[in-house]
Amino acid sequence: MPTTEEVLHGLEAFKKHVTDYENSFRKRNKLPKNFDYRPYRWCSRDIVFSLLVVKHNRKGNFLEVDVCLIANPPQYVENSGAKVALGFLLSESYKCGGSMEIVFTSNVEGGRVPAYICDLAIEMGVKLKHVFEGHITPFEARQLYLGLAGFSQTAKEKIMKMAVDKLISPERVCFLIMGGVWSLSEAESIILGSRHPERLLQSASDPEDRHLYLNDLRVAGSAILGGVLDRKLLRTELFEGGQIVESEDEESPLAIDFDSVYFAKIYHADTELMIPWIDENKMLSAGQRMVVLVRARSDGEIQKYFLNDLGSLKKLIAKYRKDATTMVFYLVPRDFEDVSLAFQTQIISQLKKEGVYLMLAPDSMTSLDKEAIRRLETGRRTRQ
Amino acid sequence: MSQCCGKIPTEEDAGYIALVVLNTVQRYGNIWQGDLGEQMATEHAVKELNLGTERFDKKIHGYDNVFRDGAGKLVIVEAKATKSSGVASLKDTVHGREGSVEWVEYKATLMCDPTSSFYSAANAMIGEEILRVGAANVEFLVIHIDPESQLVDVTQLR
Repeated sequence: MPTTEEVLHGLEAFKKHVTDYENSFRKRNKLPKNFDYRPYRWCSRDIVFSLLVVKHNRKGNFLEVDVCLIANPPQYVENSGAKVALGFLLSESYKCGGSMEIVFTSNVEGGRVPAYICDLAIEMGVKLKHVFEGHITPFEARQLYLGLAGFSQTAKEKIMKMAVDKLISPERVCFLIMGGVWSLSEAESIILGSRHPERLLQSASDPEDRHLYLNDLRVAGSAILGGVLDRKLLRTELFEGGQIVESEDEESPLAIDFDSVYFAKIYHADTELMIPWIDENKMLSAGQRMVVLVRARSDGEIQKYFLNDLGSLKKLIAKYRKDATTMVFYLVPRDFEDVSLAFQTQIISQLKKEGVYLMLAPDSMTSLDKEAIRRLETGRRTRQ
Repeated sequence: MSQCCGKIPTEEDAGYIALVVLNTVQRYGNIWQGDLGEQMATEHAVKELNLGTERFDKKIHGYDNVFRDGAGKLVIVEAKATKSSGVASLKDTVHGREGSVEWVEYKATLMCDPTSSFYSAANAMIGEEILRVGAANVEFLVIHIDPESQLVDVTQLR
C-alpha cells in the first residue's frame, strides 16, 4: 500500500500534468498524440477509483506510467480500483501499438509496480517478475489482460489455440471486450459457437466477399440477440415513486453459460427473475436453470428452418431436462410476427407439445443486422 | 458497480479531487482507521476478553485486528457494526467468505508477499505464523456491535 508521502507526491505530479495538458492542448484547442502525457481520472459517481498519467514511449515501444494512484474503496469489491486502472493501462498499451510492456516511473510508489496491481495479479494467479523494477512484461500483460476480460476456461483455451495458429492475438480479443465492442458473453458465443471466430473478431471479411460477410453477419446477429437477452435479464428494475426505474449500479446475480453445439445460452439465477418476452408471466426461481436456443432468423428463415430448430430443441431437452425444473426457450426476433398466421399457430403448438416457450425479442432482423454491421466496422478501425 | 468513467480532468476537477484526497489523507493517513466499530471491538477484546494487542498494520479488505490470547496463540478479530447479526454481515469474496479458512489463509499469504499491499514487516510475521500453524487452527472471533444499543456480542467461528 502506498505511504501517505507517496500519495501526496503522486497527487502533486498529477496536478502538474493536468496543468501542462491544459496549457499545451485544451487552451490551444489541440488534441494530444499517443506519445504525449495524458492525465485521466476514473470515477464512479463521486468515488475516485484511479488517477493515471500515461504516454506511449516511442523509443522503448512501451507504455510509460508517470502517475498511478489507485484507491481500494472498502464499500466496493476487493481490488476494484486496481481492476479499473489495469484495464485502462492494458487497453491503452494495446491501442497505442506498443509491445504491451508497461513501465512505471519513479513517481509511482518509488518506481515499482503499484501494490494494488500486485494484489490483483496475485488474485488472478499471475506472477509478476519485475515488481521492484517497475516493469510488467508483455507476457505478464497478456496473462493479466485475459484474466481481467474474464473468459471461461474453454474460451481461453480456444483463444490461445488461435494465437498459436497465428490467427488472432489474444490482446485484440480482450481489447474488443474492454473497449465495449462485444460484451463478454457475446464474444464467448462467437468464439465457441462459430467455425471461424477469428474472421469475425478481426472484421476480416469485406462486404464484397459476399458469402463470408453474410455468414459473419449471421453469427454476429445471433451473438447480439443473445446479448440483448443477457442485458434484459441482468438489468435490475427498482420501484421509485410509483415508477419503474432501471438501476445502473446493480445487476441481477446471474451466471451465463454457452452451449456451443446448439448455439444455446444457459442461465442460472441466484435470485428470482422475471422471464421477459414470453406470452405468460413466468418467474425463474433462485437456483433454477433456463436454456435458450438463440436463432437470429428472418420470417422466411423461421419458416424454412423451423423443423431443424425443433430437432435442436428436442436434443437440448434430452441434454438438459434431466433436471425437471429446467425451462427451455426458443428465442427469435420480432420477425416472427411476419410469419403467416397459420404457420405461427403451427409453431406455437409444436413448441407447446415439447414444453418449450416461445421467446420473442423486441428487435427485428433489420436492427440486429444494422448493429452487427456497426460492430464489424468498429472492429475494422481497431488495431489488428 | 456502476460504470466507471474515465475522463481527462480539467484543472478545476483535478483541484477538487486533490482537495478530497488531501483531506482524507490528513485525517486518516492512507487508510480509514477511524472506524468507530473497530475501535469499540478493540476495546472489548482487550478489556473484556483479556486479549493482548499484537503489532499489526491494518489494510483495507484484510483482517480488522489481530491479538494474542493468554496462551500466546493468535486470535483474528473481525469487527461488525451492523443492525443484522455479525456472522450474517460477513461478506463473500473471491477467496471464500470472510473468516473462512480459505480466506484467512489467502490473506496470510498476501501478508507474507513483499509485492502485496498487505505486506509489512509486522504483517509478514503474523502471516508466517498463521501459515505455519495452519489457518484452521487460528481462533477467529466476530465482535458485533449493535449501532443503536451499542451492545456487543462475540461469536467464535473457530
